[in-house]
Amino acid sequence: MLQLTDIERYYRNGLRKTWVLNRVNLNIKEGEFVTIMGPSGAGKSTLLNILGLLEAPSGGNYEFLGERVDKLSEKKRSELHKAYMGFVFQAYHLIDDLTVYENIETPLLYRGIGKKERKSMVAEILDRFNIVAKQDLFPDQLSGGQQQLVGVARAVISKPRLLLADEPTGNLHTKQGDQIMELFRELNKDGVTIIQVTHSERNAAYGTRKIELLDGNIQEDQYLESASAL
Amino acid sequence: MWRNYLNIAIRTMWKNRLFSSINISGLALGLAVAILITLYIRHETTVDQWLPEGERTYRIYRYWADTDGAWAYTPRPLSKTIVAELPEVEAASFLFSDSDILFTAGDTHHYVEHLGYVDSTFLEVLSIPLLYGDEQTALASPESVIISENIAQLLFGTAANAIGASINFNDEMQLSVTGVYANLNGRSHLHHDALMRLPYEMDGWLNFSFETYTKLTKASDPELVAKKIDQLVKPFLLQAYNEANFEVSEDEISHWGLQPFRQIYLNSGEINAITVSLGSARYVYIFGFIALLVLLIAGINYVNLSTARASGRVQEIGIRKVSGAERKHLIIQFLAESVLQSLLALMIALPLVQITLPIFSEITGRELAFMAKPEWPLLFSVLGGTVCLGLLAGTYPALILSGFKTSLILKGDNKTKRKGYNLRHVLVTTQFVGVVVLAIMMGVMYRQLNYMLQQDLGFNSEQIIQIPLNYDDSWRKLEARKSDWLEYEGIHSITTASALPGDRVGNITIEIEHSDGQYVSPDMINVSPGYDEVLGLKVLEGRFISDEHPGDTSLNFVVNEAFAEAYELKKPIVGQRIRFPWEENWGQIVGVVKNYHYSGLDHQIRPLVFSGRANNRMHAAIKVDAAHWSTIASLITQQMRAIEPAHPFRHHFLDEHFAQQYVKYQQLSKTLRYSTLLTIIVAMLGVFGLAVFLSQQKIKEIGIRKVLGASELELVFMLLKRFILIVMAASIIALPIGWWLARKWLEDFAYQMKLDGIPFILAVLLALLVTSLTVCWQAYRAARINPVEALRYE
Repeated sequence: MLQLTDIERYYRNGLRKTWVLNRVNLNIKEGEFVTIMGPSGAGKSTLLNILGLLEAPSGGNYEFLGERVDKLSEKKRSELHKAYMGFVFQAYHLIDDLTVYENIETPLLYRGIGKKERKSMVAEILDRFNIVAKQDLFPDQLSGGQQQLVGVARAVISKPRLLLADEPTGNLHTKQGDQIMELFRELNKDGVTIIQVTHSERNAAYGTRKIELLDGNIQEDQYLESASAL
Repeated sequence: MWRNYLNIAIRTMWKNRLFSSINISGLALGLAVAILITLYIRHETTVDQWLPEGERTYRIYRYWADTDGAWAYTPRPLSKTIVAELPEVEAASFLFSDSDILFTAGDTHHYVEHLGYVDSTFLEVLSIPLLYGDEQTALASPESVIISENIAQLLFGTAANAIGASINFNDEMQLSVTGVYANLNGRSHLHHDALMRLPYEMDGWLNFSFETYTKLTKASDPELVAKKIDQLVKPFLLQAYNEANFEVSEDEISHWGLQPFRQIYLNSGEINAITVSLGSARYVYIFGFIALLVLLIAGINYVNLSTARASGRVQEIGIRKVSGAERKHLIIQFLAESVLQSLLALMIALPLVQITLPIFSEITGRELAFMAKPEWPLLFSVLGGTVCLGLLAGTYPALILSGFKTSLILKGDNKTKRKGYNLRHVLVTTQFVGVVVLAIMMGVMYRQLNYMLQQDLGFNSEQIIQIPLNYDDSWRKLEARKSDWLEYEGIHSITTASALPGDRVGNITIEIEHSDGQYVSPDMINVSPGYDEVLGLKVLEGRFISDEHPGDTSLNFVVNEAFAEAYELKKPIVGQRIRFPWEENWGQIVGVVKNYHYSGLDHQIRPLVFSGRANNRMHAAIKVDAAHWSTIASLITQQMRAIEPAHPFRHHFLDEHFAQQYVKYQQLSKTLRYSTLLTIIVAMLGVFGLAVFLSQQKIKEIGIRKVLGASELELVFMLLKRFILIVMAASIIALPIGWWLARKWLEDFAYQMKLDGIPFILAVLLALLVTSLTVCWQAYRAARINPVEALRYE
């Protein structure tokens, strides 16, 4: 599905360059559930941002679905976001001034989907995530776990082929975290490719592949056979 | 999608109530001021535009190739002659303006303030529509009069009753009302309350006391017609001069020009006219500029507060972007928000306009109406203007907000907060430049006005009663009783004259002896002895017109200093001789008076001659002792009844009458004062908003500094410093602009105050003061915060 070749990311600090990512090569196939791990400052989030086209690499090649995407216009990037990607964040990033229903609906608005269809799509996902009762509440009226549930619902409502998650359970209790991970596994089974960044081995165990990042380099890349056994 | 935008717009506004209300009330004030000024400008630009066929109607004026300015003073035969001789002239008619004429209908008396004498063809040229009566025949009879609705109501109760009714004209003749027209005042540069046939013989070519209006045939070229008039009229004038014993060469005869009727009201600055136009294109520009300035300042508030508070919406923008929003979606969303806010502001501005309109009408001296009847074009343009304001104010914030980098946003990077930081300073500085310039202008105008009002005018205007006379011979009767009146306690002196200070003074042609037949045209006032005493004029040389010298009331003259100077008379001036060119005998200059400002400080003192001849004098003036005023008043009332039995007694106080000519400047000064005040309020709303924002943003810094031992005063100063610097920077820019504008404006006045630093210093101090007050309150609140609270969330 996507192919990173010699991806670099550095920041200029005066005359010095500080590398965050250093010649990263990575190939992810459709249907994988990848977990990126590593200590703070290893470049996990940067890698995820580059994969999600939120940040441009300083060098290297990024092919997404067979097309080079490392130097795209904002408009093209936005089109790819709309067509293929969903995002889940550690801090949920719900829009404070919109209700649960409206938050979930937002991505559909930008895809020009008609009102009726929007309604049924949102209703379906509310039902699936078991949050129908919360639809008229505002984010600050929900618990963290519930907020993240809404965050995932919003990320997947437009049926993305790639779901990118940055520490999706970082602000949650273990139990709430497990709930989110279960959800991810189900989505993955339905064919959604998932890439998540996390510190938690427990979360990594839900995935099919684990990548260890250290100082901007891939330290270890390992396929987890036992994933489904958990 | 729009529902979503609307929801978020309303909820964000509600959440940030303080900032939204600052934005909206600033925009509302700005819009209200702009609408009021639009109404004013609309009024000014529609005056006279309603006249049917006004596009081919002109007023005729005279000019000399070697002299600046022009004079819309023409002789009566001009209109008849051009109609008869020039095929391009479809119609032409004259207008002679008189004032203060008594109309009596039954027991009702009314002094008509502005009366016009015309001929039977007047309505063919200026087709003023009649509410009652027939335009074709209304002026056919020499006894006919057409009156304004206002006069009709005063005299007859209703306009309909007036038709066919009879009016006694100044106790001289009976007139029959043949037409009623809608009041001209405020709708036209003509302000006549009644128009009637000229009851006097005034047929000379050299009597330039008439205005002449003409209507040309379609497609004729006014410039060509003017040239033809030159050729046509020259022989008549030469002959008339010749007969009057003037030696005038062909080159000295004036040229003629046609002023488009519809331009008279606003563009008559260069043209001296009998009917002085109240309008001025320049003031329309000044007011338009102020309207734009207030809108600009309100718009800047919006830009500043929106960009300053952008960090509050950063997260939302990020989410929308990763949810697939393109930049254009976000731009549209934020523009919709600013348009929404400006529409809300309009909903406040409209009632505000309704409430303040009467006050504004009074300040500007115009009768303004707003939505008295449904006015769709106006409503739509106001609506359109409001949407434009919203779009303009929203564009920059929309571009900034929509341009944030997603990855930075979602990480909560602080750099986004600095966006627009410099621009904000530039914009606030711009606001203060506007505020300081307006404040300077306000100060300069106020001081110039005071200067004029307090200036030593060279005569004494206090405790002088002015009595308008109504008959040509009233002054003789009054002069005959003079010695009796002077016996009363409290009456110091009495005079009758053709003009008192503040009245219009006519000029006259004079020949100076030994000057090679050169003619000069000084102003002239006919006076009776005592004029100098009443007004307290200083006689520098010789004496004033006096009863004791018989020649003084027939041949002799008194002149002012300017006369001697302008015509280069050698000393001693007393004893030199001058005369009217059409008379044989020379008169002596028997005295020179010190210059005095007989027509106000916006006019230069012109050369002036006094004559004691028995010419018409329509004014009496009495110097009284205020302590005895009530007994004197009843005495004069009684005496005047004997002199003018048909006329109710009237009087003015000379000082008030004289101050009348400054009304225009007072209106402007007042309007400017209020505009400046409003502009300052709108600007301060913005400053307040920024101060609140800054103290919120710096709450951590304040907390840390406090823990480190900063005093509250030091913290207040820390927040205040930045604003003070902005005001100082703005002042540096504003001072030269204000100086230039003040100089320009003062050029209008013949006598200018010395432009010193005071208005400039005061303007800057004012800006500093209001800014400090606005910021300090907020800064003090921020400085008093408990540092533990400020730091807890970090």
